[in-house]
Amino acid sequence: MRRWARTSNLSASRKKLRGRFVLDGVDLDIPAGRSLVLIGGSGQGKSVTLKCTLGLMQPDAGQVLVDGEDITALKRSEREAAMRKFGMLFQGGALFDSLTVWENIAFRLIYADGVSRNEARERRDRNHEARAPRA
Amino acid sequence: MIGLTAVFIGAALALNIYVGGARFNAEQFVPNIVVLGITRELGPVLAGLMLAGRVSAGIAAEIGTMRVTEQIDAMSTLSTDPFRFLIAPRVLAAVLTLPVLVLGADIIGVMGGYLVATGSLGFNGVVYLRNTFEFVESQDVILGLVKAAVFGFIIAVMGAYQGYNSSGGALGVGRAATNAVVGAIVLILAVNYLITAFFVE
Repeated sequence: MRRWARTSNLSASRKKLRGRFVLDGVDLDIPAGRSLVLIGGSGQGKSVTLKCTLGLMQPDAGQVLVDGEDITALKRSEREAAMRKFGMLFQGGALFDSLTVWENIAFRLIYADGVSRNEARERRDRNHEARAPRA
Repeated sequence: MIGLTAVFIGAALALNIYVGGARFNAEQFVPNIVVLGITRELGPVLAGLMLAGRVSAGIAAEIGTMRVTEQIDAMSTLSTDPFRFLIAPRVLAAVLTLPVLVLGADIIGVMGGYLVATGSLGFNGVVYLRNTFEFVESQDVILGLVKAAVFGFIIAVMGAYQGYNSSGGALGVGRAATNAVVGAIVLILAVNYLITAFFVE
């Protein structure tokens, strides 16, 4: 089975925990097309593992290979491109409370892809019409 | 708020200069020293301190809340640079608007001195204003505006830095806001001295 993401000897420490290693030598294979569940108590490093895998947090040591590319060695702009391969649902929703519902939905279109607001609205309307149940 | 502060400071300054000047028969210098003190020092510093309390804390609280509710992480996963989207516009706005506010504070502060000088110290209004405008130089006003732009930068950057690096839920956001205000105030006062010393030399 094709391997999609892999962490190798991943280790990360968080300053808030007085330098204690939250992750220490984590090796994890995430195969394409499979579900992987991480279970652990509070403070065991589940979120840190995810954030390191996505590139939101830089590990102190180790590699994170996504499609064979080590994202820990990428520049900021390159890492942003690598993040496009991921989607993440945050624990608390992480909705942008200063934006409207449709702006939250169209956030990537408007703010990352540079699509105009009018164009984003038109796409929303087209999708809405296409998905509306027929009478 | 800045206007109110400026008018009272200008009025108090005029009274103090009058009392001090009277000790060696130099009461007539009230308009000169009021305009110098307001434009070069008190206008930008007071506006900076007032905005440090309001704006720096506000920015730290806004960005800090976004940090602890993972909105900033969400932004990154949506390929949007939080610096470009959240921080740069706030810094730019603060750098551009604070000089405008300080210019207003300068005018209002001088008018505060004018009101006290003409109302209770017996100065002639026309003479007071003529002395003010003849004495003040463009470099005095420019120094104040340069300070204001730098203070705006400090206020926004300190708020954004503390908010961006906040952690620990609501408690962390409160701590970030407090640190932003304290840090901005100390930096404003220190940088104010450095800019003044640079211009004087």
